[in-house]
Amino acid sequence: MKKMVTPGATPAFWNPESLYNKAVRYIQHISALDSDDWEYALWSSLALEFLARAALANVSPALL
Amino acid sequence: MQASQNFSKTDVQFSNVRMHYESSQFYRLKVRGMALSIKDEVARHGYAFVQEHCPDMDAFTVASALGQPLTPWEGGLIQELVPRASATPNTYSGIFGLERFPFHTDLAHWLLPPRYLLLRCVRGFADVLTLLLDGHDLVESVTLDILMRAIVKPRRPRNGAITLLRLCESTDDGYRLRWDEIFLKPASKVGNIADQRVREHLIDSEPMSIGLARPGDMLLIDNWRMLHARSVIPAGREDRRIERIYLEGLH
Repeated sequence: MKKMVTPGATPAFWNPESLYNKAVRYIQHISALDSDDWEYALWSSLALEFLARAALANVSPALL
Repeated sequence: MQASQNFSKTDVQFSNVRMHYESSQFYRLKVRGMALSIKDEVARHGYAFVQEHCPDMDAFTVASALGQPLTPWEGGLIQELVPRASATPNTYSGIFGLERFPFHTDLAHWLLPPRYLLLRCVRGFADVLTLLLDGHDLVESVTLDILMRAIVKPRRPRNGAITLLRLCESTDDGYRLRWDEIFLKPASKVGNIADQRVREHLIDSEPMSIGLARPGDMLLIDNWRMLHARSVIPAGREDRRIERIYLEGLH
């Protein structure tokens, strides 16, 4: 017998808006740093990761 | 003075409406027609104030005729607001007691705060005021660019997680504003700047004042646009009772 599963609410940490906000937060953090600073590269990569995750979550959280 | 000018527009339209229909169905049809005017009023001004609106009807029937009521938490469909000198510290009453509440939008720390907020007087007093500030003026003062980039976070984790939020987000029909100086904290550089500027705007601005004084007096607020607050509760007014219902949309 086929069993239907009712999906629950998507957890907030997979919400595309939240992921996008995190990327924006990191980018604002970068703006205070010098581009030669090692932290600049670190936060840039993290911002890029969350930007990509937000784009995927916007299609479906299953893609995360 | 400004307040009386502001809500007199709605008063003229609705103040003399006293409906005592025996048939609930007939009542609903009549109120549906009125709901359209109220919806227009809310779209135009961000709120609608109606005096003595069906004082004999229960709050749920009135809310259902206006829009789709929502239950924000179990047992929270109709919330009774009573002034309290002390309460749990995660509420405004717990923090401010009978003092004036600061301007805020309701459930601002939620990912998606309720769109509309209905306040209905059960026992009111003309000297206990609900204060309103138009978010359009706030956006004009602080700028949309800053508010849209202002990242904030809830004061405490919700469901084990801290979700980052923005003070202003674009929606299909405009934008969704959120503000709560207690339950939201800045979480980015622009968040700090916006926090400072919003506080400055709130100090300088002249709010509208509405008194929910008689049973049935009803104030419908666009929670994505308007900031609201409660005035101080004078001595002898502790038995004020207001019913609050959240609505996710209007008919």
